[in-house]
Amino acid sequence: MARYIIKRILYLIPVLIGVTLLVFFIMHLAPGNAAQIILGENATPDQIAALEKEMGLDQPVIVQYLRYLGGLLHGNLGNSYATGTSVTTEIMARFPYTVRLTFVAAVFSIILALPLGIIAAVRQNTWVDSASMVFSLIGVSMPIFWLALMLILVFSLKLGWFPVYGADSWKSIILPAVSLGFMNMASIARTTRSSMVETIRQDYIRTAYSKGLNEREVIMKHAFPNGMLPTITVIGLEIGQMLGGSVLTETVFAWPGVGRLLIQSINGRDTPTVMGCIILMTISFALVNLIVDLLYGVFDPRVRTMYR
Amino acid sequence: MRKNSLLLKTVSIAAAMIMALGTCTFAASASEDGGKDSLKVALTEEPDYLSSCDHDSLMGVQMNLLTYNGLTRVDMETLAPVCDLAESYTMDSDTEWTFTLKDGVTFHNGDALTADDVVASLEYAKTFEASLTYTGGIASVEAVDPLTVKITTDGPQPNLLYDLAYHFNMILPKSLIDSGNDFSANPIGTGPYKFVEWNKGTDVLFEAYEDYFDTDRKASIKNLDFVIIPEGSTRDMALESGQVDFVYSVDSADIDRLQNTEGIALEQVVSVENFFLYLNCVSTEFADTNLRLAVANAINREDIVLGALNGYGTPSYSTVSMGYPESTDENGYTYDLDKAKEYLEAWGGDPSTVTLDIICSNATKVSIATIIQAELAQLGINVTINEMDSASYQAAMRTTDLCSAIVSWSPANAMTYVKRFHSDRRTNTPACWASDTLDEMVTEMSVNMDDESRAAQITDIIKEANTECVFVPIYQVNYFRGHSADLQNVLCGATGYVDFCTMSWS
Repeated sequence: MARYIIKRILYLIPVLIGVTLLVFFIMHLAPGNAAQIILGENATPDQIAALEKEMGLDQPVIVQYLRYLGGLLHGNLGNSYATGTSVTTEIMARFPYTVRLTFVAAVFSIILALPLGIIAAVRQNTWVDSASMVFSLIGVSMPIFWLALMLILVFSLKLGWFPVYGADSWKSIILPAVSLGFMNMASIARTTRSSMVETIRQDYIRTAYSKGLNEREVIMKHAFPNGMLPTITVIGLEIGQMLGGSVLTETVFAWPGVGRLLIQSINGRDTPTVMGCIILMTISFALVNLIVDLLYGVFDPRVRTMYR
Repeated sequence: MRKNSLLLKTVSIAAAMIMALGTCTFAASASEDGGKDSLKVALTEEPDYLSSCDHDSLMGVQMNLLTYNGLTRVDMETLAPVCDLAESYTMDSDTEWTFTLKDGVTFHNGDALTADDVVASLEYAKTFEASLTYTGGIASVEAVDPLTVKITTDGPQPNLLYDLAYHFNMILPKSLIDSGNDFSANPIGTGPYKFVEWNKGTDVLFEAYEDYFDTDRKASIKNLDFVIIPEGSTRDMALESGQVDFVYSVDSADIDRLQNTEGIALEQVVSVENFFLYLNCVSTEFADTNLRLAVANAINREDIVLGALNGYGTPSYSTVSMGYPESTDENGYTYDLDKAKEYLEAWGGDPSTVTLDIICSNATKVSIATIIQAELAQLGINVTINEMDSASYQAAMRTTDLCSAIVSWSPANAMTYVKRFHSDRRTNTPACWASDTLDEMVTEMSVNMDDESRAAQITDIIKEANTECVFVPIYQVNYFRGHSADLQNVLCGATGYVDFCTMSWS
């Protein structure tokens, strides 16, 4: 198992090199650069050229990239072009907020989605199934931006239960988490349902019923662990995505997460900050997927033997 | 049954974790100051810097106005430069100025303001590339005595008093400049507010400076908290719910609702920020003045204000915004299709061969361009719209390849505005209109040190710019600031800044 984990972590190195290379060159190809943006419209070409030189932007792109990679090997993500402060500081000021939001949104979506998906599968083709899936469909189709504003309108402005914006109390996280988790809840519920429907039709489930076990035991003890594998994959992907920042939710609720920072940085052609955010997202995504793969082993003994 | 209790346990643990997470993480900021000695302001975006020399952004300057002072400042009501840290000044010759400093001024770190601080600050500002437009004319600065400074310019600089009010030239303590202080992390100045804390991505806190030198402008609200709320609807709902007291920019879709909401007041200011249609006068058919005049007279600006701005804007008929003492709309434009067709005829070309490709950097500009597209179709001119992000847009503005763009300008004074009609502007926007007549007029005005005759020259330049149609004006922005009705003496300037010193709670 330990060998497997180390191997997976080592796989991350070429992935990171590939991702940084791709992002660095894409940023370089995009029109405009940080010096132009910092100096504004009044700056003369000479002033821009002088600042480009100061920032090292006059160097060939490959030199800039290698210099960046050199810094990265020493754990230095560089300084933000826009604010002059260390990218690590900028990101670490925001990443805890993203983790918090992801955690609460994931808990919210899992708690709702699993029962919803299981009930829909067990009561397949009944009104319960239809209602659950219509509810999920609404969740998937509803624009997150609209849902977020509606939640604020009802629960903050009309009822006064939660703050409109911010991240300064436990109440502040509820609406952003619901808004973010709702869409994920819908896709997890739909995956759970289809996976459980398939599992329930298996011979061993019929055997379990014929042994005289009641429905709850059959579903929870036999069907659920086997039906969970695709659901775990989806949950992993959703969490990985949320850890990369949820720009719309963060924007509407003024949540100070990484997603907003990334978009600001792209607009400001702030390459070091963009690179920092992307590296963080890549590592988060890879780690979440590693955890997902390990969880397969927990639910499926066949996978456990593969690790050995 | 066992499974059920397991599920219940899991849910309970998860709920407890969420509660614990919330309580632990946010406990430090749980006690809120709900008293009337604080003001919570919703900003549209976070300032990049709190230092005065590293940026040229609206939010950054707004923060600078709290913590720093210049020798002069621009009065928000009159837009004229007035003394700030300077007690008085004399113009000894066209290039020599002597400033006497106010006595007893202290920085937030306790240092007393002296002429050495002024010398160090103005020299420090010149080391920043971004500041050169506003510091480049200063040849030397010299401390005559502890409270007297002599500034020598590299030629007649009638703009000096404005330049000294600009944030790049704000005065910092020499001791901190010498020690390499990071003024963004530790913004020490002489301003009415002292910096307290900057929580990145969340808020910036200030508190009133008790020893502020200007008793007339001493802050009456003790604590200022600037929170960052990028989404307009959220900002407005935060104001309605009482979670913030002041909204820096009200979303135009919410103006009607907020105007009718009890306990909320809206301030509307017709700004000097002018939106216009920039045309490539170098490599397209728009180098012909008659064609530009045809476009200028074929656009119904009221349609644009209604259609793209929900009615909240002011149609603009002159190349320089109305609102400066020197402004005029003489030789300006009207919506007159017949006149537009006459200009088109005078141009003599075939309008169906003309394509006006307009680049836009946001959704509002796209709406404006769409209305222009419909209106120019009446002249037979084909308009295409090209939306791009602001960095690409800025890069495109610096080329001769671009055909047209919707652009805005909001200089603090008309002199700075009309200087942009000189051909040297082509170093920044190489495809803009330039003419010998305008060059001559701007050059002459730029060295005229007599205020009265210079104002007349500026007015003449505006008339000439309208005649030559240097670009097509569209509208002046109306700024909407929303606040609690209990907040009094709210002063919002036409250049976009808000004076937080004058505000008080009723």
